Amino acid sequence: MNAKFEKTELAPGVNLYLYPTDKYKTVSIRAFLYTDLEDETSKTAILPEILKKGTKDYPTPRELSKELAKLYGTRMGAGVTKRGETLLADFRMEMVSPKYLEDDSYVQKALKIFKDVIFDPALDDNKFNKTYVEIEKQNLKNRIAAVVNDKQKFAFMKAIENSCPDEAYRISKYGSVEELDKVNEANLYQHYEKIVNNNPMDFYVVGNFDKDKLKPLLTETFKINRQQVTSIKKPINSKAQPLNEIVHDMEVKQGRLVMVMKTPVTMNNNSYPALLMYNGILGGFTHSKLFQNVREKASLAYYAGSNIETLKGMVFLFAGIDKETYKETLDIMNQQLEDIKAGKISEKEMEYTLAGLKNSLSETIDEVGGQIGLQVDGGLVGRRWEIEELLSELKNVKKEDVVEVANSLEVDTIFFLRPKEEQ
Amino acid sequence: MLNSYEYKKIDESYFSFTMPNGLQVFYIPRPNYKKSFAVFSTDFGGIDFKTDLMTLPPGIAHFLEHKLFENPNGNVEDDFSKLGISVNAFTTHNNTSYYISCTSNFYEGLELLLDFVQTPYFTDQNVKKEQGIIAQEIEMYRDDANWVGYLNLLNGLYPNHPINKDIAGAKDDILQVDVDMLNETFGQYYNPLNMALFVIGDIDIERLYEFVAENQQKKKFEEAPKYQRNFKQDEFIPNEKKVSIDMEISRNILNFGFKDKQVEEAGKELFEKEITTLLGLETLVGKSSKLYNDLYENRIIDDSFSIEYTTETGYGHTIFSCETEDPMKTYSILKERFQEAVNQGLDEEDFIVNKRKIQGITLMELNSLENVVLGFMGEHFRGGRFFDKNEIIEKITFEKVEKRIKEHLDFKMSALSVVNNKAR
Repeated sequence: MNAKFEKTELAPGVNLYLYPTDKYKTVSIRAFLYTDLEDETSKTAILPEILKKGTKDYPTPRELSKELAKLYGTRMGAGVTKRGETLLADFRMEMVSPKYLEDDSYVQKALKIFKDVIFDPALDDNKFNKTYVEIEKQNLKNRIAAVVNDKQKFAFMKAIENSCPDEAYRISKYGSVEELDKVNEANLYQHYEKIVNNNPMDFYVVGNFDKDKLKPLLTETFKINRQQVTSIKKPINSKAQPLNEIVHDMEVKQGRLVMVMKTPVTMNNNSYPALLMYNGILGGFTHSKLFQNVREKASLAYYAGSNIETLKGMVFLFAGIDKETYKETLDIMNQQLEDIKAGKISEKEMEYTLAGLKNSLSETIDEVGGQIGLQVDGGLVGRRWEIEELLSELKNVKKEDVVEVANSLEVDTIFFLRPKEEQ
Repeated sequence: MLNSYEYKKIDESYFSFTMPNGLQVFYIPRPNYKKSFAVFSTDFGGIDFKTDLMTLPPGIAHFLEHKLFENPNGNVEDDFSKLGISVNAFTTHNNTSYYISCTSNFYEGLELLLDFVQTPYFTDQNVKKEQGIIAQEIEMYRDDANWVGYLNLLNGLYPNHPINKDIAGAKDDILQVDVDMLNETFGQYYNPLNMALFVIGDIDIERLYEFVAENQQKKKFEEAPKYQRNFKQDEFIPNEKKVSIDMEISRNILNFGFKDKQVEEAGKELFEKEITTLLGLETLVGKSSKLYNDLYENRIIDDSFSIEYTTETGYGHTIFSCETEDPMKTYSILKERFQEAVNQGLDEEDFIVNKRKIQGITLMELNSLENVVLGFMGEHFRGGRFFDKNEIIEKITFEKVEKRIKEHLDFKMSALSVVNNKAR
């Protein structure tokens, strides 16, 4: 557990994490309701959209947003986040720190609204509002269809679908249009009751507040009456499939190449720091092999790099290129993978990557979202890394460790979104 | 000469000093932060390819931004990587900024930043290489339907103003760029008189002063720049001019915008105009307005609806954007409802609530170092002071806001852009 966060158990499966600091001019609250990604995905996805429309006290979006505006522009948001095979309904509130205002009664009012959004929503006859449910169903359908608009995201999505055909991870966080069609105000409310009463929840409060004053208020506000907790599946460490090369033609100007690799190393593993180093050397930075060789030396791309899905042990390589240079780019990428496996890693690459990772992890220390994100991911995989711990472990990573990670990786999918011939 | 400014109410302060060569430096303290940012900017951006004295290819400022990263040993990013510092740059319509973000080695990073931006290295070969990279960057944006829709709208609003060009230029434009042009623009716009450095973090101000002074003393620059930015207003009356294009996307995208009639303001006056407009738009059609909620519940707009107001001396516009099945039908309904609401006048209670909201949000936005330092940068080049925002908001009256909205949302001054989803 990160030393900064003070943990209190509010009810079975419901925890409160507090982190007071005078760095910020605000108080931020986040609540996460954990669900299995495959457990009626679309219903979980639509819920935050409905819940943020109104509470019993402020039953319409207009009344609710007016009230929040009065509380010095207190911001509230809700949505879903996919992490591995888990879908998190995610509620956020941010308000001005009471330090800057003479009257602090708005804090209590804002907290009450936050609680009511989750636990005391506006209802019509024990169901959600039919109109809002219909509108938000359509909104989510549009969002599902909109994946085609962001060509880079689209290429990633297609690559994942092909790479994880048997894992829930392939599913969109909004579920599917077919699933959405079946959602109505009554069955949505049933799903809501089921997860809000049984699924694990975490509350995080970070910011400029007086702990002695706020803690009793939070404990009181979020005290939830529940007996049992549904357990949530852990993220699946993805296994490599036989190599699959897919080309998808589309009317685009630029081709998007995505390559997927799998490794047994995840965040829940002692070699995790070595995986971070590996990704940094391969494509995390501008000094990395992919940026240097695909962009700087061959001038084939504006962007070329790699990133990791740390919960599942997946590494993605990507570049935006011309259609004609597909083979050439792929050859360069494969060469980089081979080079790392063969230990062709310079002192410079090790040193720069360490410095880069050190910088980006240290930046997280200043960021509310980054800190909380690391905690949440750690909770899901069952191993929480402290930033300080990661920093010191990274220093101990040797070239051999990186080579070992490299050799544990297998390419299973190559996806190319290819520009159609011009007519 | 070190000046300091304090804003007690919002717990903010900043320091400023000017170097003998004219470079202005600003420092905003953030005690206890690990991270610090330094932003080195010039008052030169996408619109500055056309002046009274010369015309260069559009995209020249952005091209120059890319090229300054090159030095005789290769790419300067490498030197930053060694220090574990991330470096990046961006070009807007009006400015070019280079910035570093670091958690250690601040002065080493600052020195590299000041040096690479002020030391050009252009060769025929490295210019050619960059043409390939930038061409890919342009293609990437050309696939982004929102960006294309936005640019098309600017074209409709401003046929005679350089803001109508893509900041990166077009592929054909950048092929014209050569070493001479880069040298010429560098000499003009990267003069210290045209630049400023902004630093935020936990830094010792005395040491910062000495450090920058020593660094600048080593360098020589030409005399003051001779080109003036083209502030001339685009007199064109768009009168609902429509620009459309087909792309492979999921839904049609509608953008419509209103062009400012008066664009001479600068400094605090410009800042005030911006905030007045934003407050007016929020009151008219923000999330807590009657209009927005009616439109949303009647499914004329959905959560893709967004509003943006941008202004600088010389131009200013509001853009409404949304995705829709039938863009022209949506447009005609929105037009009717907007006109109706503007004629009826704004709701004073909504105005009061929104004023409070914007005050709170302005404070919240001070959390982000990036926001603060970039906001400060933008305001500096517009001639205003970023931390004045709360005080300006306080003084804005309902009458002013209502008058501004009535004057600004004039459909004669509007244009629209539609990106149609081509049947797949």
